[in-house]
Amino acid sequence: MRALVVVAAAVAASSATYHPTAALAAQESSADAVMWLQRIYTASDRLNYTGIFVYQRGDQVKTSSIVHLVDSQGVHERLETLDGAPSEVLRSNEEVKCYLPQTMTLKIDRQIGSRPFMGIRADPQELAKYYHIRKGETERIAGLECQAIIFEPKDNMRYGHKLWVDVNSGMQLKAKTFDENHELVEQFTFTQIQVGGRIDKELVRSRYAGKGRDWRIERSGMVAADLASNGWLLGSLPPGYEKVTELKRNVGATADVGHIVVSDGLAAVSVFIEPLTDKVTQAPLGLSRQGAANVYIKRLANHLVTVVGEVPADSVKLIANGVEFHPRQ
Amino acid sequence: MKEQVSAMVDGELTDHECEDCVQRIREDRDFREETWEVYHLIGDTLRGLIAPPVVARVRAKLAQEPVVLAARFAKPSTHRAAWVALSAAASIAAVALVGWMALPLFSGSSQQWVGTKVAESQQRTAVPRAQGVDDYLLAHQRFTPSSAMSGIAPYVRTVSEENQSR
Repeated sequence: MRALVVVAAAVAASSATYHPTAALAAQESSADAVMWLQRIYTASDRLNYTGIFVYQRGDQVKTSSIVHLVDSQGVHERLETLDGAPSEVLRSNEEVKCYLPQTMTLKIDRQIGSRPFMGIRADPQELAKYYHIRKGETERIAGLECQAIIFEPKDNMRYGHKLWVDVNSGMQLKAKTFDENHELVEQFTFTQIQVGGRIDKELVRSRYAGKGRDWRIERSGMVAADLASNGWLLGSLPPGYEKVTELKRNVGATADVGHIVVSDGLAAVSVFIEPLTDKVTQAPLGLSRQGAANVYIKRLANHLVTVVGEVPADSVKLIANGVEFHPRQ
Repeated sequence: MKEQVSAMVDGELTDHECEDCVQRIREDRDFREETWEVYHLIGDTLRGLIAPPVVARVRAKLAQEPVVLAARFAKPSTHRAAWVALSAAASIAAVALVGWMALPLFSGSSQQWVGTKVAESQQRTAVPRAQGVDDYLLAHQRFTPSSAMSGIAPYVRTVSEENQSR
């Protein structure tokens, strides 16, 4: 019981306001935490690794294997889900292929005139405006000593994050996302990982490659676009969120969907805009949720606007409500 | 009575009050058989000693009484009053939740999954599950920043669902 009270106090303290006496220590801890974030970026660009990780949200647990290989031709990755329906995701630099054998579907995600993959990288100074960043405890994960880093949001427009970084390699081995009630939204955890060393290129090749003749291929066909010049504006963004990219693309079987991505550096929200058709008029309007993502759908000027992101419901709602259409005369 | 016991285990009673309290526990059979057991269960949960059958029983009980208490631990001052009012199964759920939030303080791993499920089941009820948005979510994954995991790991969020929902 005493333990419980201590724990409750600790939880309460973590959400309490800033203590001036602790400000200096907090500042040091924060600077240190930022350094760790930079280490994660470097490590994820340069390291070779193979491992098994577990993804969990709600009562769903998925185990996957992942291989990450960097060579003279760039970055190659392969992810395979190990339980439930088989699926495979392959990345070769800017191109991502999702093999879904159950439906014989191959989804190819590639941006024409590509920008760096996973373009969103936080500027630590900017991040500190919207998150209290601090170092947590050290903990052993997948047999490796890890340093925890905590990102506690300063408002209700983004989730909290806790990341665990391998002290030696800088590899991120675990990530937890918490909602506005401090409840776990989702988590990734490596249960086994081998960092460094030679990796056979066979390991980043699809087991379905070359057998795809009968598969249905869906290409994302992403091209940079200027939706603003067509009259589409995002009138309200939560503090710290900025437009990251603006595209035209295919989403599933629908062509020419506008796709705007906004991010605060840690959280990202996608806004999809497409003309109303028979298919999309069936979409349920308003707020809904799938897994870790909140979804808000509305109709505007004969278009369907779909906002999705791993952010609080209030954020997707605010962004969706702010989508405006001002056709040019 | 429960308040007094709670205060006692928190070390907030004088020696004399403690004796008095223990005496009352001895005399109160209902309390001994139910509440006391629950308090020990709470302690065991926090120490990671809870046995899987107990977890299953708690979960079954929880299914019968959907008590929403997720945010209640945010303010320590209201903590005890809220505590007393809770039914036994809900109390355990609360502890499982707190235990999970405080996980870094402990090293058990099974607790984490239990607590998470509890939180999840209570929270998700209000908002309907999205329909037909798999394609949008998949399209979105590429732009997920490193808050989750680097590279293609975040795709696992959607690829497994895609396969099942068609």
